[in-house]
Amino acid sequence: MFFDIVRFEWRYHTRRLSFVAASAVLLLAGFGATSRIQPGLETNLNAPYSLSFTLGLLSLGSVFVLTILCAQSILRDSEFRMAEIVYATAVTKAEYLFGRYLGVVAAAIVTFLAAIVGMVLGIVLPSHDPSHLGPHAAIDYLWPFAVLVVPNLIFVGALLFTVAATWRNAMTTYISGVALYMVYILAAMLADSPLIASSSPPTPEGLALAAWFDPFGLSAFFEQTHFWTPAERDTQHIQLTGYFLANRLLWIAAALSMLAVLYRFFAFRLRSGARDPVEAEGARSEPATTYRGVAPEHRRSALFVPALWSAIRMEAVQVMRRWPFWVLLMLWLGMNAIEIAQFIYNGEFGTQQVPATALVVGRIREPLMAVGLVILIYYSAETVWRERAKGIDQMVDATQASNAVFLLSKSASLSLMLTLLTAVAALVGIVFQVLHGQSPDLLAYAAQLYFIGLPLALVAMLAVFFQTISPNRYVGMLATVAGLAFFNQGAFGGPQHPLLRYAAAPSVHLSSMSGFGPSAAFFHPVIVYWTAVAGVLLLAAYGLWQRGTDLRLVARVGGLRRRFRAPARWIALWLLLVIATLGVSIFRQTNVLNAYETREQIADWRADYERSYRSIEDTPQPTPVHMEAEIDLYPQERRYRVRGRYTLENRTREPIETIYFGALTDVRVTNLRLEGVEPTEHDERFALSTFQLAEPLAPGGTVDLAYTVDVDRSAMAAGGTERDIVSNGSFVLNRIHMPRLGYRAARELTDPVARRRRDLPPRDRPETVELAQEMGLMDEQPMILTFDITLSTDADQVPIAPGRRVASWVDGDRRYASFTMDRPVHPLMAYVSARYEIERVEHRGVEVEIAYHPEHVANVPRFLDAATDALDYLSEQFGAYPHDHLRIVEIPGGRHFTGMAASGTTYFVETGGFLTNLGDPKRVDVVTKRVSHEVAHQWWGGVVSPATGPGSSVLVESTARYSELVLLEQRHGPGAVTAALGFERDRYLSGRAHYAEVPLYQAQREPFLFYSKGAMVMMAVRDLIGEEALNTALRAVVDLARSGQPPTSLDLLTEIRAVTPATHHDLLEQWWQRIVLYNLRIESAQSVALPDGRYQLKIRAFGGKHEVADDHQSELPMEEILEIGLYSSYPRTVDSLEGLLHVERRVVMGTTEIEMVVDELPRYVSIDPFLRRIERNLVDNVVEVEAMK
Amino acid sequence: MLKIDNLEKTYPGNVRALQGVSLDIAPGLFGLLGPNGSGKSTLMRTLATLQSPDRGTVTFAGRDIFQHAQTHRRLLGYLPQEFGVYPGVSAERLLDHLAVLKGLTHVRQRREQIHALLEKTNLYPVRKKAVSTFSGGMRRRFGIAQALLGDPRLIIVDEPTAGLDPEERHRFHDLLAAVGERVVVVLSTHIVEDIRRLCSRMAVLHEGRVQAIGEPERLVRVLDGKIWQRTVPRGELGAFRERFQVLSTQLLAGRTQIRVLADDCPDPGFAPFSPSLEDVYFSALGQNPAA
Repeated sequence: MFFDIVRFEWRYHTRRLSFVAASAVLLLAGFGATSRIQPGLETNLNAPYSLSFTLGLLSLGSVFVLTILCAQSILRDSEFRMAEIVYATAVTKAEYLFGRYLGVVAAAIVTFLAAIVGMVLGIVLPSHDPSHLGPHAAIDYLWPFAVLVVPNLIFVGALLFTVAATWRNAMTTYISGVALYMVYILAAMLADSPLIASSSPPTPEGLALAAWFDPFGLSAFFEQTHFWTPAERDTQHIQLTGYFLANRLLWIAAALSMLAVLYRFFAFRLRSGARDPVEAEGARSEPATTYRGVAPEHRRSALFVPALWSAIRMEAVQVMRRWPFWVLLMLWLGMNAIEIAQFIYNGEFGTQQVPATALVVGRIREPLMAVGLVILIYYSAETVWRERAKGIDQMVDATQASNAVFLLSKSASLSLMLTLLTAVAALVGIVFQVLHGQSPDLLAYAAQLYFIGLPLALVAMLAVFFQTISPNRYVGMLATVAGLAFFNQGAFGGPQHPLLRYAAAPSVHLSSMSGFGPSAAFFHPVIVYWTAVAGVLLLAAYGLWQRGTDLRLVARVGGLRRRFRAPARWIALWLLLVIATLGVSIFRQTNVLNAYETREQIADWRADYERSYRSIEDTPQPTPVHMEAEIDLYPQERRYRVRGRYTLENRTREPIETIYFGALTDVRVTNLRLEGVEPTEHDERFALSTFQLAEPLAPGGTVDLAYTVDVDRSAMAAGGTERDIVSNGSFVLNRIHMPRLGYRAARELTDPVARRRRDLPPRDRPETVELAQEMGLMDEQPMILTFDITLSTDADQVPIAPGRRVASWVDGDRRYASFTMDRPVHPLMAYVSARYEIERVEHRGVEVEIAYHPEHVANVPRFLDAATDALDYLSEQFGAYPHDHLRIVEIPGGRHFTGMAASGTTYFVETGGFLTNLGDPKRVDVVTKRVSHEVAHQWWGGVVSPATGPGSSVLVESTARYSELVLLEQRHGPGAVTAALGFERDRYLSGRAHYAEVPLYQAQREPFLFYSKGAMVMMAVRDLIGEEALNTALRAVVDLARSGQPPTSLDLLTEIRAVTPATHHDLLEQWWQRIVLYNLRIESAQSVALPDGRYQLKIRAFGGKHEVADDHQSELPMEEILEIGLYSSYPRTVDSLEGLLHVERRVVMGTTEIEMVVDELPRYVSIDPFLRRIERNLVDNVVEVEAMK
Repeated sequence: MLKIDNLEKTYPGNVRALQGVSLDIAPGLFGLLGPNGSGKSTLMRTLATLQSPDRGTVTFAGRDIFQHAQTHRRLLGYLPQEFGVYPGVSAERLLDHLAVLKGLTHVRQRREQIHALLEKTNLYPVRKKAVSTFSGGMRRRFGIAQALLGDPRLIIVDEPTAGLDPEERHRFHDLLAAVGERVVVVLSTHIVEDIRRLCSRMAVLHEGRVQAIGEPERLVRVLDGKIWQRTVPRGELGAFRERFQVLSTQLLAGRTQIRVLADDCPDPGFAPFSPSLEDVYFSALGQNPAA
């Protein structure tokens, strides 16, 4: 009997259209996930890790699939009024429940097997490059399927089945699905899942918590795998150990308990039978009124609004009358509170942020987008099919109400739902702000309804359309999922252009300085365009609306013409007019005024450039040595003009006959003259002009190059707008107008596969500093120049450029300032304009100036303090500061960097320190950290300006990081360094997990190496040889640069080696020139009380290290001095000094017995408590002390 | 008033639900009698513009109901055979909602009519209770109340008395009879009793065809002297069925009583019997399409 039921369920489900649709969607999703290569990642397409990741991710979709299956399994009895018959049969409760449950899970497993089929198809595509594929093995699919997918199906199935069986109500089942999804997002937020953008790396506590309570096991999966290197991802499977095993067991146990509870309490009878129906017999009241016919309104216009209003009220009541809705709202509230709290209390580097409106409002988008879409998918199904599901369809269909009433009331109820969600999120933000004494900008919150709510509402219209044309709500749900993924999210090769990607208006972010910024202006036309498209969809849905009992879509399509009467036709005409007008206007902006190119087209362009101009690479070219520029910014018009004259000098030893001038392709260059003469040739496609000199330019000779560059950002670009010129807070990098002379190797395609597809030979740029040196590339003097700049902007803004400020004046409605730099500097700079407040201090002959947004005054003193401290220390250690001024300039957020240094002027993003709460001394002081770093760049990158090539970034960034950490330590003590290194360690290990790693001294393009590993190695070297010795070595590098020789990372190593005892040279080599990871742990720690009241400690420590080379690991002999920390409380990386009783440096080689006598009994013993060695596992570094007799 | 001309409807799977149905229905109660699956509900839904026929026309007061669906719906009161309601919504609110959808935009008039209807259907005391908690009979009464909202000229009630107990049915009949005086009421049922008590005219529908049409009295009178009855021993029923046109069989105190349609006394064992509406029904089912 039992198996008959399972079999029956199985047959029932697998013969549904929704089952076929779900399998198809999953097949497509699997195909889409594996068929496309993520550029830049090192992992194989079919690496076990990638396959597990994909399967785990797809298993999130099990919520939808299982909701549908469970609803069909349980609710069909009541919806089709079969319950009485079923309950009256000889089936036992256990057979009924477990039979159906197993049928549901079996059907779900089969739909997910379709995902595997899709993945295999995606991988065996002939278009893949074999270098992206590893060996094929069925186990790579089946193992993650068994440990990730199947347990998820068991658990999600059990939860939804229990809910469906207990409440026998579709909506409750849906909402428990949404709630489950929310729990997952929360866990993902805590675990810093790669799927969720996060502001700071996860804490071990957060990871552990998330690994437990993420019911999908994805957080536990990431916890286990997030430091895996590409080689490991290609070969290893997820292990059933640790948190992952615990997580799987926990949730399977949860599934079984739920089923047990369900079995115990499930009432195997009619639910409504529990309460007798209301009877109204007796008490027959005398008719006070008599029935008289009332003629209905016959003017459509007059009856439309009251009907719509009544229908909206009915929809709203239907949604809100059930408790699950309120549970959902509570969950949503909690989710937002956690999201904002995470951000405010645990911002970048674990800092606390001041909850300014711009920061808090920015937290609304992501959860709303994630949860809003899921809610829409469910609620659109529920609302569109409500009348049919409840059986009241014939009654309402026989009324004279227009289809528009139903359609619009349903769309409105979905929009109301979104409004409510947005309002709750906003409310949470406002409460947070008020609690922190901020005054929330209510208008900015309200604007979120427009910037986030409206695009979601348009998505709701799309969902309503899909539901309208679907034969039932489950098929409709799946159609909505697939349709949204393709048309709205652009997945599976869906459209990307804003005119084609549904409701893809640019996302608008709020900045304290520049408000909603330029994307807001582009948001309007795009959203109106898509609103019109949504209007057309609604009209189509109006025409195809299911009225009456004839469900077939064909029949409804046939009736379209009859339903489209005058008003509908007029509306359609107007909508099409809006679509056409705005479409043309947007197209003109994105594709005519801006260049629109697909990724492939850009790659072709690069390839063609290389083919056409590689031959000119060795033609000697002059170097700009002086620039005079007049730069006029028009922030309100979003355009600017640079009129520049550049003195070019022949620094080669050969005469120059031809000068190749290149510009950026998205700017307009006019009046291009070399010594007053126009170019002889011009290549429009590559913006390359050629000057044939009448007489060759002799070595040491100079010529004058002049041209005007115009940049206009007032038109929308498809890929998002540049934010260099904005109404307040413009930040224009000089790269936009600098001359690019000769061949630009940076334009070459680097991806080997893309090169091969275009028949380009493999790229032959040197990858090691030794090779580059051999080729003479590292001796090239980098471009340095002097300049005179006149910068103008609106009169109410302050213009700032690098250089000494010579003069400033106002002329009409323009404010001017001129700057000069009379010693040649590295030509990286930016021109800035905003309504600034300025503060200046004179410090030992240097004018230190800060320009900040008036509201962001709180941390200004710390900025100035940190800057002067840094000036003092760095000039004492590495030689005099080269300028008479040091500027600190605040710029708007939303950039890929938080700080930047030009010569004498440094730039800081508003969200990178100005809004940090510095009150808590235990948190990283990001202001001191950043200011020290950018000031250090005045030496590292300023004075020391290495030739671009392998290892060059080490000389600029690792050294600046070191300077920054030393300065941080001066202000806040050694604990602050450990806290900062904790983040560097994480960044390094995560970085090497995704990208190929080279030894540190070769680093050029890998931030996880030159910043993070560099910071750890520099601090380890300092501990090894002392600060003085290390600074001596660094000073020698500075002197080398001052002598005119651009140093390389090899020079840095030579100087460090020179001040290091020979016994440690091996260690230096391992840290700098090889890839070496440590494995340190305390195996045991015991204490014996001594008669004199002191304690003897016996500690068993272990130290090992291994080298990684060519994806292989080899053990290295270990004998190093390491720190052993004794703690009274559990040591934390964030504050490594808290509870610290004693530190001792001891030699550790393999398993090492350490004995010491201490006055105070520690509770914990830790090895390398200050994080000077790089190792993956920190948990085993700490052990609790055991007391012995 | 209501003119149905040669309606045809075939469902997917070649189920021919209506095969050339033509009827001309004047004001008053019109009964549509037929067994389950005879096409009654299809015809009713068609008259309510919930589905369109493959062929044929329906006009009401001279207007094609499909060409002017909205106008037709304004004049329509429809009680479906089976219906559900929005859960948790009170009778008063649901009536109000349906009334607005029907076009009763004037708030006071609407409220008055709803009160009157609630009283008339004896639902006034429970008007604040959710319809989803009502018993079957109350639900039916709610159904008729909503069908009477507005000023319907054509009322279509599909199997209204199915599942009602005798008392409820009785009350329901009173209600229908009262409203059926001025307007066209089409009532479908498979219960002969309903027709006999309510309808001035009727038709019998079978396998998508109209088998008989007329006033019930007159249809009965046609059978005068043609109905014969006798009891037959067990086991011989088959033989009788072969020889005579057996209209109905009935168990009476353990013995089988049969009625036969014949112009003359078919057999000495038979006795003449005065015809009833039921005989009309059964004779119609057994016949080829009536003229």
